Amino acid sequence: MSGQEPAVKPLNLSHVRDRISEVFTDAVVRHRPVPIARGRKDLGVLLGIEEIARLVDAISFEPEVFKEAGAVSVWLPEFQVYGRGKDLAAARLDLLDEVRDYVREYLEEIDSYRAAPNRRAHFPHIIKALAADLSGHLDRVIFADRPITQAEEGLAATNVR
Amino acid sequence: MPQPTFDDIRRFCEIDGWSKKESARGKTGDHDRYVKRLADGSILRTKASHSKDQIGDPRLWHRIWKEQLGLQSEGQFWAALRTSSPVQRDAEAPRGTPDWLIRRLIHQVGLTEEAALSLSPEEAAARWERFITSPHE
Repeated sequence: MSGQEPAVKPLNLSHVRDRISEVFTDAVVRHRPVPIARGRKDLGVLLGIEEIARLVDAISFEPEVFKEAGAVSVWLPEFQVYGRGKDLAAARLDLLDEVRDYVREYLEEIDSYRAAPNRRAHFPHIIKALAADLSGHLDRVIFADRPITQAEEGLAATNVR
Repeated sequence: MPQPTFDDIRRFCEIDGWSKKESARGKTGDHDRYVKRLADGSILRTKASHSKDQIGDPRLWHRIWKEQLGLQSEGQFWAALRTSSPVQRDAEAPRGTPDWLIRRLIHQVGLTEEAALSLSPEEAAARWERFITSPHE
């Protein structure tokens, strides 16, 4: 610690408890990050979901579509998971289910996942997916960055017939 | 080499000492889910559909054996099935940086291909985290 006062002094947790509604409004409605401290060591910041989405705006997903006889799969390299179905729409839904499952698993076991050499780099994408899911935009966030073209859709449909 | 069925993947996981688990959201669904933790802290995850399907696309199968099953070669998968013996994993061996991360380091961070490939997986992950958390890069 530098010993200098921070620009915005964190609210004490007990103070936050007494005026949680006002603090929540500050963060979520007025879009003002609220630093909160518990004792001298524990420090957090309450952020609205819009602000979190902005912070991870530059992060994108690049799903890959694979087609084969009778099935379509969509691989998501950022999480190393895939969805599979009889057509592209079903594969995409299955992938969204996989992503939700992975996000939940990652956050439930965050100590081991953030320490895992093959998982720690996933954290920013986990936050991106979490924010998108909470906002009801998971489908758009996962697939919008790499739109699946009509040609690809048609190709996949042809292949599984 | 042949393309595996989901039964092959299920059998591989049993031979290779993976743990079967429910999905994090408590669903069993149409898949069996497996996880394996390696000595270096890596966490491997995969799933096997209840269908008798074969994984028909070799590119998908490549990603599964390499990135989900954490194998160095496809041959390790078939050898485990043939011999009913778990894969001999060298926990100290450096694991490869995922392809997607190499691409991001080159195309978004701006590293040369040589520089990106010279980083260890941990260095690559740290470089990527630094890039996405820094508004000035």
